Amino acid sequence: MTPARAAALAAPLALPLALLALWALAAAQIASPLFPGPGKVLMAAVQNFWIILDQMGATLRRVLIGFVLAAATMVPLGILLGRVRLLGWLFEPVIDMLATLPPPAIVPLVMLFAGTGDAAKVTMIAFAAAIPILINTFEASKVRNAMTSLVARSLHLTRWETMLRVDLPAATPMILTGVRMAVAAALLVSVTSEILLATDGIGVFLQRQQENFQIAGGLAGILAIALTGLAVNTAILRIEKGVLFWHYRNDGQS
Amino acid sequence: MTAALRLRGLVSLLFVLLVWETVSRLGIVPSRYFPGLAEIAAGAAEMIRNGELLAAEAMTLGRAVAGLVLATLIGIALAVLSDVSPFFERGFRTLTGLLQPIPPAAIVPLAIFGFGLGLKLYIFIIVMVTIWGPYLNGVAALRAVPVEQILNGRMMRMTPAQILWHIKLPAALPEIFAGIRYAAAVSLIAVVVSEMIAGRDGIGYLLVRKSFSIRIPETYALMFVTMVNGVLLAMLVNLGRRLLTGWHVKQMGYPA
Amino acid sequence: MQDGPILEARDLRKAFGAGAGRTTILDGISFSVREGDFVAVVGPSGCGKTTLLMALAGLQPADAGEVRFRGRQVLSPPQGLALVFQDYSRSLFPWKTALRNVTFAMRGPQGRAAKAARAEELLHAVGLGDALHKYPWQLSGGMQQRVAIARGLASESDLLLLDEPLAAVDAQTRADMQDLILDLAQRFRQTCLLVTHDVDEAVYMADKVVVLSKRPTRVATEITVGLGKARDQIATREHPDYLHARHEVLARIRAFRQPVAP
Repeated sequence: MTPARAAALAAPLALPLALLALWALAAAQIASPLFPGPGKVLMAAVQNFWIILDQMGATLRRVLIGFVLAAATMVPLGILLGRVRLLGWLFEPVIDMLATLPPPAIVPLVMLFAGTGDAAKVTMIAFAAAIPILINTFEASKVRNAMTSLVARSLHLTRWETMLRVDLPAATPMILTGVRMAVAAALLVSVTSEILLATDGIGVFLQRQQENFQIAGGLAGILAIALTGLAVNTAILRIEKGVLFWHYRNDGQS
Repeated sequence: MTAALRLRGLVSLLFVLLVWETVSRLGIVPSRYFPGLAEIAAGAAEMIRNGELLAAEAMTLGRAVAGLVLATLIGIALAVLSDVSPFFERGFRTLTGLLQPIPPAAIVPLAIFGFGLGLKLYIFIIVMVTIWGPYLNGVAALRAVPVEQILNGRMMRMTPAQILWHIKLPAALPEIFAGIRYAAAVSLIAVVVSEMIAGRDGIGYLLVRKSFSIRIPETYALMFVTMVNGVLLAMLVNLGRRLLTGWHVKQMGYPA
Repeated sequence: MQDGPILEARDLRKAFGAGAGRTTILDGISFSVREGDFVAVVGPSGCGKTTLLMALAGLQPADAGEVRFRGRQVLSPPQGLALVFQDYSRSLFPWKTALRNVTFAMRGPQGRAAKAARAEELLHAVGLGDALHKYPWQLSGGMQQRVAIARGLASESDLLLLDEPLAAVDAQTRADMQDLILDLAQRFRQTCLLVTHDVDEAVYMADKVVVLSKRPTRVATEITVGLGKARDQIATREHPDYLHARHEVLARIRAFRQPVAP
């Protein structure tokens, strides 16, 4: 029983640790500054801790502002397009097309309008985050459950009450999926814009490390991004499960 | 049904073009930043005439397809490995959580050291960011194969490898293709962003160059090209889906 | 052929869990099936019919006791044993047509054309001659189960195990399918072992009924149904022998519900 439980506890870490050991071994064999081992990366992470934190802060601040701008405008717009048949009919193919645009392709275009400053970067991020939120909100509010709208009518709810208290909760799971995609797109565009339009942010840090052949520092930066992404994703999933407990119960998940 | 959809797409496209042209003519936004359709078309025509558009397009699409195919095969192989060994699955889940959220742009600078500026660089980055769709869907789908089907295989005295090849993989394929469809979009994003940063060739590079040299109609034309690429790649995946899981397409009753 | 039984279960025992949570499912099950027989195993829900079937098929061995098929101990699925599952919608392959589902079960060396011809013949026999190239999901529940039965016959096995094959179809279809299975068993001289929870079905279809008790499960009794091979949904069900056998089975099951078992 105890060895089995120990194995179950070790399983999530065993493979990553084995790969880490393999990496350390290979790095020791090759012994080149272009191929640093995990120890060197850790050291670089400690050395650059405050710089990474600072640069990551700059990145995340823009991501947050851009994301909030996108969510604040696109959720209402998505609901509008989903609710007003004619508008939805007219714009759906356009939205479908925008969905195929790789978010980073926005960077050069917005640069033309808004330059390379903070405002420009926030605009790029907002634009990238807008598309998944718009699509998912639109798709979610387009669907109307015949059963629940019958129930709503039998309860004599007004149109507004129905929208707010029946349709919106039903649409939330899909909207939140869009939110998760939007955060990924925002982070991607943020890093891309920083690398291309070097000013500050974690992308600039990565670029500097590369230019100075600091591979260990670069890997430390990537690690920081990975951990941030993991933390953000976990946080969103937590919120989703908190807000949408009924949805997860229903699916028999969680 | 499909004819109606096509008509609607056409109407919608015309509507957008009309709005675009009107805004451009009215001069609400300086027309320098918002060129008319004719100007954009002229920009595109110029890039086609001097050959740079097609050369870049071949680079970009070739990389995206090659990377997607390799990522799909690796993703499925890892999914099978995870299905065979729960221990591996558990460990790889930790890695997935850590590696999946890394945006491709962050990997490019360091990857250039390891792989240079050639095809290898793009393949590496695409694989790093696109295996997750086929992998995660593959794991879920292999796990969801009805136990009766597997027991049927055992009653027919099939080996575990035969059961995998003849029963589990065909059963899992439709869901794996849903992962590939998502991966195709990600693959194109990864290529374009890598080309933008690596800065030597491809549509992404062209886009940055045209915009930095303030060739505005060309920039718009190239953005249109990246959108078309998304559609092309989705069509390619759909073709593969039809060839390999035609039965499922029919069962779901998707329009032809 | 040989004289001994084709399938023999000897004192099968199986328990799940450990410590205080340990539950005995099979508590010493013994019975046998002879060549040409149609045997039904009937028992209340939850008495471990599926567990028993898994052990008989060699898919999941019992803890103790043994299964012998054609005189050899069964440790993994043996050649010459086929199984039709209750849930046809999950056991048929949705990516294969009815015909290909059936040919897939023919693992022999015969050619593609020969397999297709044989599968066609079987599908005609189960009344699906015009649905050869339909996919399972294009067929009704009863039709899907016919495909599954045709597939069970396709492997030309010495014994066909049927795990509640009619539990998921509606009552009228059920009666038709009972007659179809009986007809096929006679026509192809197929030895069958039917597992069911339905006493009427067991008595109507079988030459011999093995009655299982509630958990921990034992064989409550074995009853030979003296009705001959020809059965009829109306005449058979009014026949004194049928009523007598049915009475016996129900009485034994009820007796086993009493706190003190014999």
